[in-house]
Amino acid sequence: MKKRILIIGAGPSGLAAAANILEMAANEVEVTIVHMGHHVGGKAASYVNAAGEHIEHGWHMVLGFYTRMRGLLARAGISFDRAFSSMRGQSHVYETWSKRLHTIDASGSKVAFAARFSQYDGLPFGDRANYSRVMADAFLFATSGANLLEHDDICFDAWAQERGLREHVTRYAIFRVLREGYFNFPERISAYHALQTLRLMSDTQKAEAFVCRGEWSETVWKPVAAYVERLGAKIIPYTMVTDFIYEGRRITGLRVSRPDPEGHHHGASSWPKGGIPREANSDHALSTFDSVISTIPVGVLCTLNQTDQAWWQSPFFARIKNLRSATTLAMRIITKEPVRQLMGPVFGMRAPLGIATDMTGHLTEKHGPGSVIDFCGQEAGFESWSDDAIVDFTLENYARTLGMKPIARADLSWLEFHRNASNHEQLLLCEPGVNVFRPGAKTPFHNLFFAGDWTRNDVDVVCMEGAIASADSASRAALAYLSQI
Amino acid sequence: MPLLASFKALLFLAFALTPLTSQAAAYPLEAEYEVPAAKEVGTTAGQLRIRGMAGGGLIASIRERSTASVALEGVIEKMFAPWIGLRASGFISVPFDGQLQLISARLGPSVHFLPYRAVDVGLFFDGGFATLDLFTDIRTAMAMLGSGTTLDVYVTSSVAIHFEGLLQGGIASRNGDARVILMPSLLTGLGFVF
Ligand SMILES: Cc1cc2nc3c(=O)[nH]c(=O)nc-3n(C[C@H](O)[C@H](O)[C@H](O)COP(=O)(O)OP(=O)(O)OC[C@H]3O[C@@H](n4cnc5c(N)ncnc54)[C@H](O)[C@@H]3O)c2cc1C
Repeated sequence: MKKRILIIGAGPSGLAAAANILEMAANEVEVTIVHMGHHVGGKAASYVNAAGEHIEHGWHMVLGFYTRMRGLLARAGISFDRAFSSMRGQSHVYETWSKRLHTIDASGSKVAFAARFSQYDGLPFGDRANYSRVMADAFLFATSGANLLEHDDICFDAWAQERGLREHVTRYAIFRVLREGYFNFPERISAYHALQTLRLMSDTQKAEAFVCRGEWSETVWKPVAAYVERLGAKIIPYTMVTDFIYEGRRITGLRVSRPDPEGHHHGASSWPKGGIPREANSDHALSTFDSVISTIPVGVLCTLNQTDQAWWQSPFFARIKNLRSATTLAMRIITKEPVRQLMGPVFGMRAPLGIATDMTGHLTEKHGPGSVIDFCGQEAGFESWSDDAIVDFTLENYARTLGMKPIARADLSWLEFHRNASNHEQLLLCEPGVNVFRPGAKTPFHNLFFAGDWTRNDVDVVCMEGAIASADSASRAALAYLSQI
Repeated sequence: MPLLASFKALLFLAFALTPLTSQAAAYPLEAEYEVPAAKEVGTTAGQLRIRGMAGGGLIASIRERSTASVALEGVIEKMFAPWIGLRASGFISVPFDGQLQLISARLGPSVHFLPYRAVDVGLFFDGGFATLDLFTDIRTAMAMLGSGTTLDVYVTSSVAIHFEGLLQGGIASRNGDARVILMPSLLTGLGFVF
């Protein structure tokens, strides 16, 4: 009889885990995926609202070093070149001191990623020399093979200052890019996360950024899900795990219920804040598995087994409670008339939506004569601001940053705004000192394995590639366990 | 009348503006976007310090009288800790009377006693090789040791005035004779620190 693996979650890590397992052992193992939404792709998903419109959960880019993700897409039959469009090594940073956008152009030769920074003209001469020297040192250190993990308990600002970066240089937008990119602004980012990013993006090819030419779920995750179904997986939506049931060191069941589809599916822009409403009488238990891989985001995981003191006081799970997540924000606008177009993302704009990308030229589907612009950022500091206040501020801020005439709501043909406040949609904060609290694939339960961008993995930076890398270890560990029972 | 009008206008403004200003939330992260003026000075870890200096020196050879020279030196120094660095120096003397011209290239550690301060003093010890009278027929190569003290006065975060007292010494072989060459110099110059 085939052994049964239950995977919780159909985000990048859940789908990748299913693909890995079935590719390696389809004859010996049965895979079922349960996930709480109706759409696959998790935080990197898009979905269709009640009016039939495609909505993105948030702007996503794929970087050159995402080799695992590219491998998965290729195996699922997705042509990367057809699905993704390169931003040609371009990005822009708005510096408040110069009140200008400064372009980083890393296209062309296969220069080291650090060279991007030294060519950056957004700092006064002395500061630029200081910044470039420290970034070159950081880059050399990151690529030297040193154990970067030892630098997790210090923020990157302090790490750089210890190496001679002048304190005020940390306040330039160029130095905030990584914090903003990982939604850790205004929080700090750990030196480990920053250095690991430099290591991963060690040349122009690995640092090249791509965006999806279509909707994420349609273009990427649905074909990947179809692929794992072809391999034999069963995917069950609307199944929300609320508790793990266990005996000794074995998970024997999962308590699940059906989330009330009011929310994502029927027009609201996100699941409600706090607990997800459940359909009445939908609670039941699942126990038809030998092993479980959970890709539940850490914020949600911490709400499971609420009343189980023993669970949360155990050293393993107590540590996980130290991890915090960010409420990400995302917005897409389509203007009626075209506005100033830039290739590549703009960083350094004022929070909360401090990153903007003109998607007009990248999307296969045309959206009228206007421009399609995606914004993302995080809520911290703006918790008391209403959605309207954030939208209006961002429109005004974007126009001012790019030196355009003001954009009003009346100038838009489309506006969508997401406040990913529900813990299902939050992203792990990679602030200093958290890495020791991130678990690996193995747990104290012999048949429970963790995956997800928030767990420790070979990539170890919070992104889709990290999620997919975590699936590698979890699927190998789960198969090893099953081979023993 | 105009006084009353302006009083009324003031009253109106006071009432009209109160709800407006209390509605518009202050931008909470204003300070995050301000770049303070550069005020960090001093020697720090990681720093790369490049300087060019000029001064005067005496080149002396035991059993010969000493001759005065113009001394020029270029130094690149990399700090590995706030107080310890490695410096590479290139030195050239321009003798007034055309005698005993010294060129040296040396490498060695430096110690800084007052890092993170506008005025820093330090010591260095180095060694390398040198040539005597390179541009003549009696050119001689030799090993060279150096040692000295430094005084750095930071003008800005990036620019410092440097003073250096340097003593170089080596043994040259001339016409089968071993001759001790000593060259004390005093130098000053400008440096770029980043
Ligand atoms: C606004 C935004 C922008 C981003 N930009 C980028 C980017 O540019 N590049 C990049 O690489 N990454 C980006 N990310 C991060 C990326 O989306 C995540 O790293 C990735 O989606 C994590 O995958 P995952 O499988 O670990 O978790 P998720 O994608 O969160 O998937 C978790 C899955 O678990 C399910 N689930 C959750 N709770 C339960 C439960 N109780 N029961 C059952 N199922 C449950 C969910 O429905 C989902 O299917 C961004 C994220 C956000 C929010």
